[in-house]
Amino acid sequence: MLWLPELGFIALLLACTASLLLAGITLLTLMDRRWGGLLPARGWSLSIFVLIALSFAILLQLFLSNDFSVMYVAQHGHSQLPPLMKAGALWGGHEGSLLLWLLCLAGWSACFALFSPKSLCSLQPLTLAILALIVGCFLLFILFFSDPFVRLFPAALQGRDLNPMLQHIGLILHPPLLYLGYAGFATCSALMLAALLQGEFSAEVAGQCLRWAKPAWCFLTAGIILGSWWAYSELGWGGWWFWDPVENASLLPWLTATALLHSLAVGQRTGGLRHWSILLTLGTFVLSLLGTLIVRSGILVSVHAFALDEQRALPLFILFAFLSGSSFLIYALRANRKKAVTSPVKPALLGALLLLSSAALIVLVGTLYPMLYRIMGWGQISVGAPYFNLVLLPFGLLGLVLMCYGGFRRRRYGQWIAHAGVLLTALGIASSALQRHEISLNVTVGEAVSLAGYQFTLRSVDLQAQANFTTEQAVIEVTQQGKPVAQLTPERRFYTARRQQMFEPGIDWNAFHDWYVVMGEKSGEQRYAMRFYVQTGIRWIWWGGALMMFGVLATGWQRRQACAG
Amino acid sequence: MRWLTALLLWASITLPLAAQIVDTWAFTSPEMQERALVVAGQIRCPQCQNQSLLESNAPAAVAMRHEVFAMTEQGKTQAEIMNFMTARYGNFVRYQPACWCLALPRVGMWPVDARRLC
Repeated sequence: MLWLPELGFIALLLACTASLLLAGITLLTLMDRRWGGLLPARGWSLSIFVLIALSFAILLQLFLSNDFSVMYVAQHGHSQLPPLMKAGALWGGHEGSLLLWLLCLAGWSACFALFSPKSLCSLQPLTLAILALIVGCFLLFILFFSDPFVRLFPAALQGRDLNPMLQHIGLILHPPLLYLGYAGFATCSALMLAALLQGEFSAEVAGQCLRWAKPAWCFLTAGIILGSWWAYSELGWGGWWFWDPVENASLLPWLTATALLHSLAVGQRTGGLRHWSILLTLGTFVLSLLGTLIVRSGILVSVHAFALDEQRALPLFILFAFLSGSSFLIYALRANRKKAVTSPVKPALLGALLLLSSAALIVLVGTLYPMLYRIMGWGQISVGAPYFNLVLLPFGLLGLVLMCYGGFRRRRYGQWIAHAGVLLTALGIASSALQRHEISLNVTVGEAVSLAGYQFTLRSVDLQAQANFTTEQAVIEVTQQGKPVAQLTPERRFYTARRQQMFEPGIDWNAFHDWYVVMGEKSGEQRYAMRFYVQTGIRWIWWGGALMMFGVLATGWQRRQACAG
Repeated sequence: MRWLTALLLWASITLPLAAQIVDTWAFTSPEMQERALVVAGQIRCPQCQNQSLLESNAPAAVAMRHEVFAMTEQGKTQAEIMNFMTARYGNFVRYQPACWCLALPRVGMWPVDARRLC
């Protein structure tokens, strides 16, 4: 198909027009009833989703068919990439990842159009209109500043290939999950804003908001866990969290969203904690925007510098300021119209809300402070892991105490599972920080290294050729008192398209320990520099996260079951 | 003394090339290694996007890392090493701003005294 990219662009244009029309006319209805019913919000939201999905599918097809006459495909694709990696390459750069964000947002709004219950009939059109406004703003930005369908003339003979660091299953799943989470919170906050504009916050609205916040929170958690796992298994430092600004940007909405789940759970029972719920919803939305926009603008200095472009910084900043400013403006104008419901709230829960939001505030300040410092012309400073670890430690400990005191009281197994997951994660963090052994040595084939009671023996080094890289793969046998426990295969890969060398750590694990080897430079005949780690409890961090997700989903299921019975 | 200077110069040129992704610096004891790695992990590589001396393979990071290791082996404390590195490479290399304990209360009044504190 010769004109596929143009077709994709036209689909985006149509989607942009449709969403701005839908938003404009529905908002006009607020002021003048005569406009009402002109555009059925449900059908329009669905068609916006279909248009965006169409352009997304077209971009995917361009990657799969190696159409290097499209600039974005030529920059991030390569004909030798495995098909799964081609899909990952779609969101390996700025334009594609924004399109993915947009697809997630349109997908959530289509879901909301299809599955919102009858009791929300009065709020549904306005919620969909607010979502359409967000989609429209993003589309305007994409069409003017970040069009993925720009042509390249003459067409490139071969693509520049995806950054080898991103060629990992973690990359394929991490961004979609994060964006699904972010977009879910955008839906929650659209619902909350619609409630503010049209009527009032009520227990019913809180319950509905919670219903949409739970899957969004699970997606966000899954995205963060995958990101952490990816960093662990790709970067070669045996670490699972680096306090990089981009990681912080995903942690920030997670912290406020966790607080939000707690406050909405109270809200749906009693209608209380009204300001907490509204502010946390809007805050989570704004922080997810910050996560997508500010990070992509290149203002923050980060190792995640895959997809940034200084030229887009200003429009991105305007987009961010418009969306977050207008949502807080609506809160400021509308939130105090009715007297708040005052209902007793457990001190432990209030403490949890305070701890989570102040932790978020600290991470936010720590992340943005160097930028502020530089903009003010005071020089350059860095805020990194030592600072965050030290400052957040008391918050974490206090939070654990509060959770053990207040989180296991009710006989709700969803709640129990989620809080047990937090404990498991905390245990994993503590043991991986305290029980970490490492050694770096030159090792000859046949030689053994002992570390923390384990013997690592380098058995052989083989050469292999894969589709888009060649690799030297070492085989290392791990034994404990003569008994084999694991086999590690660290690699040194050479990606031919970008002429880039990558070091793939060899990792194996059991329920307690992780064995981790990085193979470095060749230092002689059959001799390599290698770094060995033995760590305890790294996996517990991720398993704890999975337990949390399972618990949160179980609370929703239990509730629905209770309603039906 | 001239041969020593020449040796140091030679070492400073060749060492970064010899030691890259895996640094096989021979520590005198595991405790010494532990201390040295903790200090090096708190200093930022001035040449990279956002990596500590331990995580970076840039020549500058490798040289600075070895500086830290050598100073630790000489028995210098963490504070001494941090002060030396900050004096030499600027506040930028310090991952924990010099005034961490003040950072929280300082947030409210940063326009007033941020310049003096850091």
